[in-house]
Amino acid sequence: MRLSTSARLTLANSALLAASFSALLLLVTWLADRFMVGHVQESVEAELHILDAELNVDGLRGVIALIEQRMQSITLNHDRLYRLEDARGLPLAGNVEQWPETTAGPEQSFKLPSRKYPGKTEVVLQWKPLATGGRLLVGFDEIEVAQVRGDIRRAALWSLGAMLIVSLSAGFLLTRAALRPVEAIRAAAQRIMEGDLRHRIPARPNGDEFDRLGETLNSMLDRINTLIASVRGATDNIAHDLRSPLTRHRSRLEAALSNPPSPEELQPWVEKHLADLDQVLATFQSLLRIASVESGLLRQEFAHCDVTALVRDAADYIEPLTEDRGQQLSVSVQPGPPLRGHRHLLFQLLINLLDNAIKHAPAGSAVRLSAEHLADGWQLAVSDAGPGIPAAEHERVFERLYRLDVSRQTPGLGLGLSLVKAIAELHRGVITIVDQHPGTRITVFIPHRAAVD
Amino acid sequence: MRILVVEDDADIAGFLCKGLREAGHVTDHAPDGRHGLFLATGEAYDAIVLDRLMPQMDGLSMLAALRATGSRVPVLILSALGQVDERIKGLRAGGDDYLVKPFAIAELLARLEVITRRGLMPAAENRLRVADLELDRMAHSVKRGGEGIALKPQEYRVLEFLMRHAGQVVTRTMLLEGVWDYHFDPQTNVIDVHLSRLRAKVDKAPWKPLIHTLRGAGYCLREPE
Repeated sequence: MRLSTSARLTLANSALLAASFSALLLLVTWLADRFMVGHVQESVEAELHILDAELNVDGLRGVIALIEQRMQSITLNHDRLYRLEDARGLPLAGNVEQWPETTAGPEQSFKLPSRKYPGKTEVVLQWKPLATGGRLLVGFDEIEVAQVRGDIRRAALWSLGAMLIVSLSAGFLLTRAALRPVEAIRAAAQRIMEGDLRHRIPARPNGDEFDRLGETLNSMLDRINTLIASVRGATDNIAHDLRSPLTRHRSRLEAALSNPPSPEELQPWVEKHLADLDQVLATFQSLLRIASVESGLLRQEFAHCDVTALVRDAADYIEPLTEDRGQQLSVSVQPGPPLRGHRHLLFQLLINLLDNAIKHAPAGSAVRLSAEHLADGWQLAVSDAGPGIPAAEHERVFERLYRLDVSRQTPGLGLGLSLVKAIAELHRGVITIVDQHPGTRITVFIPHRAAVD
Repeated sequence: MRILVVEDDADIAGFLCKGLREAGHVTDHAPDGRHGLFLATGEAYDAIVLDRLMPQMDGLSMLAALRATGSRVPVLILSALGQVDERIKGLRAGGDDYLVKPFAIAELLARLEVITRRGLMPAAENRLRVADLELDRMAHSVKRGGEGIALKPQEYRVLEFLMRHAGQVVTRTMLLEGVWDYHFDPQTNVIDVHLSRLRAKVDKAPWKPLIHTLRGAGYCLREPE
């Protein structure tokens, strides 16, 4: 089973705390132990010296009396050993029947198991030869050390337990509180998944990492929503825009059913209808293309484009058309930095503007294509000497399938300028239509900041 | 030629097979990728027409599986997806050409011809020659009957493309893809205007015409009969 983040954080934190706490306790125990053991040893040493000094004051008798006095005053729970023997090894005083076997030299500490508390503690001993011959042995038990050691251990276990309980519960509560925004985000995502596309992650005023995450996710959701809306809009538009040509086509076919074309008429009749259908397909293709440009996703394909090459290529491509119509195509490009944009779409934009101008300009007139580098972007312009666009219709010419009354007779789908507009907007560009009397100049300004995001 | 049509839509498949048979080819039809792969690995085909989106095993997976067997049979991918990157995906998966639905059968025939006869006039050839028309790629010069013809760069590129595909049908879309380095919607019949200008220079009287217009299909540059 995978633990929740909150549980994992709490456990890790508590384990770390417990480990450092235990280390601290071990250190304290060890220090206390060392101190107390040292203390016992010092006491043994001091006792040995006191007794030795008594020898100089009152002689052996004094020492014996002192040892006996000491043995009477031993408290019940202490285990203290004394033995005073003469040069022949006979005991003079003390409670040790036999001199213990030891390799320790005079005034060196050694340990023996306690007789009073067997297995529980030890006795620290030292011996010293006496100036009168014979020797003196003193030993103090370490029972207090063992007791204190036990006390510390008990206290340590209790406090460790208490600390674990506190740190586990506090950790759990704290991490749960800290991770609550994550749960809020998850719940919001769940609601959105279940179909409430308008729902957003609730905003909180703290401005911490989670709030920023929530804000970013919310703007991402907004962006996705816009995309969905634009796709839906495109589908609706396509359905709407294709309905009328298809209806027209259908009624013609229906008419043919009741009034079939004669065998001689059949070939041109079928060809005409094929051409009509091709037109519908072309419209469909163009609408899809506009929708895909409008989605903004093609910004990912932006690269640096050489404007001079772009303009020359477009002019070269379209030039036979102007020649065919006896028009003059003039091209002027100023040198400038590359333009960051979609190469194929910018080419399409120029072709569409030129195609439009050539179609509407009278034979023998001039069509101009220019590219100028301004302070903060490129300005592409196409001008013609055609009939012009009435001021009231400047906006409408960019609508899909919109055609001016005067241009109903020229071939075209009425989508060329819509695509121009979509491409310009993809590049965050601005289109302006200027009446030149006669003719029209359409400029597309594409700022360098199109490159930003 | 023996051609395998892998297409799940029965109507389109029927239309394809009929068109191919009328053009003198022998066809087999597989209704899905799995079946198609089975046929393609078992029989020897000159070309495969492969639908991109199919149930069972889609076109690109079938193509990948087929190429993994080492088969190098030319494959023409059909798709309803017209985006540039879809086309690139298709070609990268091992397709030889990519055609967007809906299409004219003439376009399909022309493209099949190109991918099956690829290498007739190698792209590396320096001198292309059809009848008395000669194109020198090193010198960028064109001669007809020994007489030099001055062409604009674009006209030269169109002629070069036609000569490389001499004897084959070249559709307008193929010209757009092959000559202009942009993916775009050509708007009005600019291609036709380009061709008529080229013709005026290359095929002017008294020379016999080499560039022929095929109604509803495209163009063909071939030796006079």
